[in-house]
Amino acid sequence: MLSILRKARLKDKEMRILMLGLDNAGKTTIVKRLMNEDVNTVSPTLGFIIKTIDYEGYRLNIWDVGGQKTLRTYWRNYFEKTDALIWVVDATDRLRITDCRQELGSLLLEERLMGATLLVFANKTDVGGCMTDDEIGKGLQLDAIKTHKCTVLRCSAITGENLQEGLAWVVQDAKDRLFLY
Amino acid sequence: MEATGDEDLKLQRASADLIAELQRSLPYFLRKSIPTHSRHSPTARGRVRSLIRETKTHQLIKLLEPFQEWPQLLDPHLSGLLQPLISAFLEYASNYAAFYHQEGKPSPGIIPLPRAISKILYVFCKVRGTKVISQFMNNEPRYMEPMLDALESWVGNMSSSKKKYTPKHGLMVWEESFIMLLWLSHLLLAPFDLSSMSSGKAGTQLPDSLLSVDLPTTIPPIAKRLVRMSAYHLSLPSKAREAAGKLLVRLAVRTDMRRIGLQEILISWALSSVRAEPNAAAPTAIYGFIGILSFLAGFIVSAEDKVLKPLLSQIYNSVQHAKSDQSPSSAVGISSASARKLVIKIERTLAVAGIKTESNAPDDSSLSLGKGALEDIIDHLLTALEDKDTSVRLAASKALSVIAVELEPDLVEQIIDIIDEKLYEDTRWEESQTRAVVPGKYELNLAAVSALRWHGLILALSQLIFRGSMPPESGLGKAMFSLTIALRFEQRSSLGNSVGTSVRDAACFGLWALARRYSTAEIRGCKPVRNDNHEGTTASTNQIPAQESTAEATGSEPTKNAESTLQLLANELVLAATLDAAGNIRRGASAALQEMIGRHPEEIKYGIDLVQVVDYHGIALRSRAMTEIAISVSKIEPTYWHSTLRGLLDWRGVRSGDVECRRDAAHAIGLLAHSRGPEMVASTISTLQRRLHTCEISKVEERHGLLLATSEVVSRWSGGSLSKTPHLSAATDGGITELWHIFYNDGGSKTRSSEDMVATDTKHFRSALTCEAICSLVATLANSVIHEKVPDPSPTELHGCLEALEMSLRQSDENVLAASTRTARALVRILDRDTQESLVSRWTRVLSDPRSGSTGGGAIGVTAALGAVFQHVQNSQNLIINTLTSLLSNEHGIPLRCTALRSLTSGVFESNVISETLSRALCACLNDYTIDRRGDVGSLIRLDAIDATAVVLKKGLLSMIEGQDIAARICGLAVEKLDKVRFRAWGCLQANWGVFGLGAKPQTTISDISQTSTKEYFLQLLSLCSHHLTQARIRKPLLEGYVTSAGAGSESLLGASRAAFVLYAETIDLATLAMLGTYLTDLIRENISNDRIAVPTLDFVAFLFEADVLQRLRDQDFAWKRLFTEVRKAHFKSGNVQKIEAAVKIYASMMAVPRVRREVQEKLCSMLAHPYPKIRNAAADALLIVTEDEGLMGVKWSKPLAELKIVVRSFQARVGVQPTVG
Repeated sequence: MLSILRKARLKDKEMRILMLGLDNAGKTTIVKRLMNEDVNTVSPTLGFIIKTIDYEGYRLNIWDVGGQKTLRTYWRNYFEKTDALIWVVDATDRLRITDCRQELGSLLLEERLMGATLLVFANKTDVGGCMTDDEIGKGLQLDAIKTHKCTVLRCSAITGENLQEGLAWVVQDAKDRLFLY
Repeated sequence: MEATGDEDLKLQRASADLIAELQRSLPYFLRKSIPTHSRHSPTARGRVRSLIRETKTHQLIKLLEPFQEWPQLLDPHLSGLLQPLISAFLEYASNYAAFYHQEGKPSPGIIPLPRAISKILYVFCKVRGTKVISQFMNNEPRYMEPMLDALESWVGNMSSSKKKYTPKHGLMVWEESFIMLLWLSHLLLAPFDLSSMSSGKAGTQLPDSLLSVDLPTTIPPIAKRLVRMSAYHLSLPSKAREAAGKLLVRLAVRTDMRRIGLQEILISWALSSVRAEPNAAAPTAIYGFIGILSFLAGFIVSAEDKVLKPLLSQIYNSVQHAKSDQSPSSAVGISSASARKLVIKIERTLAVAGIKTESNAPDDSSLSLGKGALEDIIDHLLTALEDKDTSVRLAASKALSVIAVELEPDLVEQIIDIIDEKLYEDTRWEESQTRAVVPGKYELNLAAVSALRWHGLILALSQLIFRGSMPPESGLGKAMFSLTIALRFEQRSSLGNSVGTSVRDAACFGLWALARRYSTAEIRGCKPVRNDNHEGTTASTNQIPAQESTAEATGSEPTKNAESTLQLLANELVLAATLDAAGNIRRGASAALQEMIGRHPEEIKYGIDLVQVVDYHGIALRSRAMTEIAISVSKIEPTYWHSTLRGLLDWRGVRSGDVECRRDAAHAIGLLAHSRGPEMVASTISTLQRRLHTCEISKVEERHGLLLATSEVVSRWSGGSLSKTPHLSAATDGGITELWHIFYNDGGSKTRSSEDMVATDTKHFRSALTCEAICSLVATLANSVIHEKVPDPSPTELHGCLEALEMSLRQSDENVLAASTRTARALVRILDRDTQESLVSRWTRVLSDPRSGSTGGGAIGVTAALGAVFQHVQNSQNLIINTLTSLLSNEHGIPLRCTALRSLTSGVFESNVISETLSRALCACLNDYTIDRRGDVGSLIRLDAIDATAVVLKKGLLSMIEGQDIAARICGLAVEKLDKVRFRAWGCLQANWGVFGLGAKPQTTISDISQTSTKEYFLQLLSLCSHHLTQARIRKPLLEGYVTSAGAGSESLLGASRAAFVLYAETIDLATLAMLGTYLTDLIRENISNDRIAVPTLDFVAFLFEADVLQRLRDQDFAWKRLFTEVRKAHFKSGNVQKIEAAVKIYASMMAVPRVRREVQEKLCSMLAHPYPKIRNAAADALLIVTEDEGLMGVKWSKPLAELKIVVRSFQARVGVQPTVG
């Protein structure tokens, strides 16, 4: 009886998206751009911020989680589980691509995130000399990811390039998978 | 309640296996296998089976059901799992439908394929939702007719079966109709004209239904058949009714059906049926009524606006009529929860459509609901919030919020005002009792309200917030106030258990939704207050009593207006998340907290730290949430420290109805007091003391919790290192010293002495709790004195303590016993010598008083206490030893003797004291085999004696010889037949192996009780003792124990111990074996009158013969004659059949030994004339095997002895045995 409210969540066109990545990857800037807010006043996120974006009739609750925090606590809660992961990579940061791979790898090992799909945003591609898709794919060893459905999109939080496309992919994937209607 | 919190993870891990198993077994389940040589075509499938085992079906369903909680896990596999089921069903329905009903003898356990598939599909629907599952059903229109044909014929057969027809495979079940109707409604989505999808068959006649629709001939036959089918099922009580309703709706909203007027016919039929004055008495009338309502509800939800508009007032009037109708059928119908829910659903849709119409075309009154209709609907919904059925309350609250979205804000305000009024109708603001120190504080008394009503009303507020229809300026503040009150809602039912979890759940939902829906500014702009003029207060606003009480509870200055609205709500949520008794409330509150912190950054102090600590997984266990998570929260910031203490002092903590919860809360308070420095210790103690003073006499449970908490705080304080800030420490010392006052009665009305408390509580039959708590406190206080943290108590206080102790010793409760023993130990140390002595002698007098009986009168408590104080009363030690030793003798009851043993162990032996009489008494206890109607109660004594021995051996209190003797006894217990005893004895042996001086050490350590029932275990013990079997002191107890396992143990034990012995016997030489034989002979002789040993020994010897062990001695120098004599003596004149039978078995084997053959044969011959037929039979069998004499064959040995005489005589003559006298 008490889980009636919890069950009710399933029916709504709502999704929970965890936005993760190393610090300074541009997660908060992406969210701000999507919300049409000022992207020039972003300071490092302490902890996390939840924002809701309405997209094609869906409510996307984006949990923008600060770069260096223990994550376990955000994986799921009483009312929601995580439907999708967005992993943001700083495409200009070649030095930390190994760190980035390790972080992502350990995240994907977590059993409670098994059902979620993975979108990798290669951010800051408006900056010259950034890594190519190939470099990122190799650097993160994306081919080795068998547990999650996964795709990479080049984007820029500053110009807004490909951000909407990313959301479209996430929503379409959820539609296919979760039989939302 | 105490869930581990990892069920989801476990299911996630298991889910892959479950799905793989389903995928593997489904094809074989549904279809006959195809020959393997046809492999080349991978798509080739076998023909569908027509019959299925029911058990197989249930196995598959079992694999599916775990997904109920986490249906998302099924999603990626749905298509793969459903397709085979769907296609097999279709194949059957199109080709084999006629085989469905076969006449014949019923063959239970076998069901037709469609039934099996339907049952499985229904579980899928239940788990993942009907809408999702129906999407997977085949939608080719060509299946419409076969499906309908099948359903008609099966349903038709079902009813005709009532007339002398026996179906071979049982009758159709509702799952089948449900799935097929669902399928049909899915097929109706096809865009083609219905008449083009059917052949125009008229279909078969259905059984008479209460509901029937008159249809003109212009309607195509297929539609007629569908209507008939739906109408038939609409009046059934099963779930198929829902599917039928859906089917009818689908049919009605089709454009082609509307064109030919079917829609109109159906609607007017439904409306007239709702208001019809029916022939009420029929039991199915209710279901028909509900069925039609569900059709109507479905129709108005799916119908297009322009269709609906003209019907609005008509439908509304019909529903109003049904609702208010006093005719029996409607009254019965409306008494069902589903009917009420449907009415609410219909009203909701009508109201929303009505509002929209009015705003679009305000002038056209013909299209509106009618005057006052909206108000009536809302009024009805508000009443339905108090419905006794949860589903109705849920529907009503949702409906209100959906309507409110469309309403003008001032109307919503009115609704909120009504809800608010209803919430506080039966409440009272009364002067707070727990906070009496600060006058003028009021708290809300919710004792008189109905929890169901509060659930509905709070849920309505939450839904309004969830849909954002709560106006922030006027409603939000009030709503927040009510939500915080609801988050703490608790009532005790008449049985004493806690109710109100659903109210708190609704509050969590509301706060969660609040954080998501409203902006930081909107929330910040409201204060959770409620305007309410009540008697006795001049202020007209009521704040949540949070701030004041926090400050008051801890005695610190309240921080003026520092708390923002969000902070206040967060404080409440933290409390619920860490302290609530129900796991889903803790989780719901933690989720709401996440939203609140994540969506309103910078508003809540140390919010991020809070979220990290109050983790979904961390709070899964209540005890962990309370004693770890809550403490971590309290360390983040003083605000949280104060609110945690407040929570722990409330009904979630020390005032809880659950005793374990109070203990946890007390423990947590102890930790909390010490988590923020010494000044908090003093303030916590003074808070607790104040609470104790104001605690009402009848609140035994609360007092229990408060006393325990005090004791925890003190014990932690006196156990800790000396504080570095002396002035603070002094304050604490003072506070603690004052606690002694609890124990004496100064005659004032305010303070009650402990004695008084116990005396009063005894009247309430609850004194065990008070005793436990007071004892704990006395013990910790006394320990503080011992650690020189506080000065000695005054004599009067001490007297009070002793009185409390004496009273507690009379309790038989285990918790009290443990606490009072601890208290006795601590308290006696702060007494002067004379008092000690008089105390001990008083106690020994209690025990020697025969009137105190064996258990009553506190004998057990005093016995335990004597042991506890032993170490500290130098002058009375002998008295104690003598008293306790005398209690060991078996004239006393088992519980008392066990307590005495334990008391001796923990008090006397641990203090390195033992006496000769005592060690003798201990040996006797190890040998106690008292049996009463409960069975081997002596084993309880043996177990405690083993523990005592372990201490004695460890401390080396005995001389070497004595020690070895007693260790050998333990050795015997380690091979006896009771598992528990063996395990405990082995533990003792293992720890004290050195005492034996045997040299060899055990190879494998045993840590689990099951390990002591294995062959290896027995073999190890035998080999370890092997070299010392010549020593009687080891051999005797060992064999005595062994025969009970190998002669009378349970099946598995018998096997293990016997196998071990045979293996062992193979390793030894003949001389040793002969010695063993002699020892067994001795054992028989020694226990000639003790059947407990004698019978298993004889059985065991018989077995050794059967296993060819003793046969090895046939031609050896072994005292065969003596064995024979002892066996004969053992059963001489015995009436124990088992014993004599064992002896006969031994004789049979001994016939093979030349040296005794003659005597044995004579004996057996004489036994042919034994008074017991069973024995005669056994003896004859034994003789027959050896002599192969045909004269013994075919004789009925159960005949009277006189008739057998001739047979016996002639046999005896043949074998040359002197005839014996009968």
